[in-house]
Amino acid sequence: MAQQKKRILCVEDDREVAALLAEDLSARGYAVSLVHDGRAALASLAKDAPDLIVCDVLLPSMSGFEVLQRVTEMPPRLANIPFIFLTALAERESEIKGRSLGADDYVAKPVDFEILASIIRTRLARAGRLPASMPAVDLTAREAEALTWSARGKTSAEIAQIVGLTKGTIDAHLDLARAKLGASTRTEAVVKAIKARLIKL
Amino acid sequence: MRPALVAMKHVKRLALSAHELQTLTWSARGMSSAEIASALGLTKRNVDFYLDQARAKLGAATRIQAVAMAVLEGLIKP
Repeated sequence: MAQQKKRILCVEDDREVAALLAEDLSARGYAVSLVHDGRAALASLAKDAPDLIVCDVLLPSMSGFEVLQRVTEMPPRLANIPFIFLTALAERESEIKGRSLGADDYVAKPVDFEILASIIRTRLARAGRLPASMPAVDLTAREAEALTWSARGKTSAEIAQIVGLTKGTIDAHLDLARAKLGASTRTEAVVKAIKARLIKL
Repeated sequence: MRPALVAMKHVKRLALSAHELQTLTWSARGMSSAEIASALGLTKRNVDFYLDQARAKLGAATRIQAVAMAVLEGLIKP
């Protein structure tokens, strides 16, 4: 079955950046709609709900913050669409403001498209996963034990001492657990295991 | 120092800065320091510094523990 393209709404007033965004994201298999100001963004959003929004902070007439504010006031179906800010603002206070408004992420300009794409993937995967919750992951007792100690702040060498195995074996358990959880790092594996209630601290 | 003040010191924890929360969040999502640096327009050294500050403020022994604590306490929502 052909998978439907995920739709991304890009709000960017700089035409050059907007064109780059559209080109890159389209090449990555997304259906991209471009708008150049906040008002058009809200209109487009209400008309056909996209799967994700990428929005510049500095926009004419209505700032990205205002756009996000308005989006969060919309019905849950729209208010919960993942929202990513693009910002050239060196000013980090903007981050705090965006965060308190509920932005999911910030990506600094000039945009690193690899990073933006990886964030979009993560965001879309999470949004899709919300109702179904995580697929069952079957950790062995050893893997769960090693992850638990790792979450408690123990290094592999320390865990080896605690459970009476070699450091190499512990690393192998941690790595298998990481792979099973579909995490790219041990830190992410621990977070996923906590959220899925596979380990308790 | 009076006992009450000593006790207070253990209860009261320094609040995490926006940078510290943000780097913790991205770390929880499986990004390396270098990737976080690139995403936020910072240097890797900056990112490592923020993560280490966060670790120290949380009283964690490792970065993984710091992230785990931040998730469990609801400080970050990765």
